[in-house]
Amino acid sequence: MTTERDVAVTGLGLVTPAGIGAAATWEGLGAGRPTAATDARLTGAPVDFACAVPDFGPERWLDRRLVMRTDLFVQMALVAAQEAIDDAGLCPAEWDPARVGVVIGVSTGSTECWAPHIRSVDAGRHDEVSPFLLPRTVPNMAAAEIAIRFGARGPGFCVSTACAAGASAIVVARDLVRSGTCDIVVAGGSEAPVVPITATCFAQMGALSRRTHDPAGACRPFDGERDGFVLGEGAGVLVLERPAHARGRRAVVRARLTGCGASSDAHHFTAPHPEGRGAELAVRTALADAGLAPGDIGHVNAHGTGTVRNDLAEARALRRVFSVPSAVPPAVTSNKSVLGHALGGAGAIEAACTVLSLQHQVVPPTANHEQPDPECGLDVVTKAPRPVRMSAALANSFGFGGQNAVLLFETP
Amino acid sequence: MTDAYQLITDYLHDRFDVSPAEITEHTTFDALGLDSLDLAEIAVILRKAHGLELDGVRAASTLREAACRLDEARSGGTPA
Repeated sequence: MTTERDVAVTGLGLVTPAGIGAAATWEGLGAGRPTAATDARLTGAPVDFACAVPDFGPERWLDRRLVMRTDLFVQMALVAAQEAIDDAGLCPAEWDPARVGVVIGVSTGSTECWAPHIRSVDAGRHDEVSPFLLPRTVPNMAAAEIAIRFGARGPGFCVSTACAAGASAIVVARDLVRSGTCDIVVAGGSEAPVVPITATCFAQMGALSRRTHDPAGACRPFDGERDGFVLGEGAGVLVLERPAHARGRRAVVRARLTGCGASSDAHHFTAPHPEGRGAELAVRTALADAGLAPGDIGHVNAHGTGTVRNDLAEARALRRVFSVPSAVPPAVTSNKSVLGHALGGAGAIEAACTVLSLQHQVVPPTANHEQPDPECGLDVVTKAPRPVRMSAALANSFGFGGQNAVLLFETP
Repeated sequence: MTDAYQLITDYLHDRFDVSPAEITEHTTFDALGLDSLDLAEIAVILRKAHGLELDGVRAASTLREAACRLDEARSGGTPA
């Protein structure tokens, strides 16, 4: 089979705190209104606010049996996958199932689900443990349930690289398409971490913003007053397709995925390398993969968590690659300022948002970026969406353990 | 039928989305699309909520058979 280096993006699906669907998410990002608010699920936790998907109601999309046997992260992945497949104009009944893969990134998977069952075991009531517990909670179930629902019998993987998982999944999916293994890969990430144990863990690490008096002002990427990230939730799914396959069915190509860069900091189990060594390598690898120079990049969708360390390391890496301030710097934004951080879902959600930016030639603003941290020194888009003429954009994702993934998209 | 029958059909409807129209005494779990894992889940729910044991019920069992087993368990009878 002839292989082409580029991969076509023919469908997008999003479930985010800005709404269900790509259109609702794009509108919410454009408005630049943070979705963070006090969350009843976190009552009593050291940090009790998060960015929640509004009125998800899984029964609206999935039958009750499926809802009963799946965790929220699987349900959101299924809804995002449905939108992406519909958006691509694909009919699963007509595709060659052996040529369709599914790769979904997940970080923590389900955590809270285990609690009552562990209590049962501790009390010696082993016969109260649900036989659904394991199949409901293991992280690979997002990809597995998508394959089951849509009839995708090609390779199926869960990629777990912490907060980079959604982007890493797209890297793996891209290789499945580029190598000719698959015609189509349904790729993305999903996470539902707004539960007390996960919020408490991140709070204990000092990673979460402590602005409980002002949740909407809490996530402040690249701002001098930033003090941590805000938990989010959601799923992002892209349909990646062999260009010849997409042409053959006259599909609308939203963007091309022309470069991927994956790297490891090889430095520390939670902190990024202070100079952004791994981030820089991933960006340079993505550029080389696409055959582009830094000056070709008009926009960077940053990892931009709003933690002191991430933003500084990411900014240092970007400044070295883009030789700021001597060149025309790319317009940088952080979707996390509006959507929060959906961990394993974030990289895929932001990849989809980057595709939308290329399509609309608009970079949505970073909320709460009021006093730029001079040490970061990036051209961050603030307050209002900025029209940007661009043919190429990057989406950065960096995970605990120093695992990084950078995606480079170009206009069709 | 008995309360046990009602209990089972309620769970089938509420948790497994089985339409009441599909449910008869002679329907098997199998015919409703439930497998052994689903039955194990129902057994756990009944045990936790009602202290009842759903022993000896298989996917090929009818709802009536399952209800009889539950009634036996409730009355302290010893299932075969």
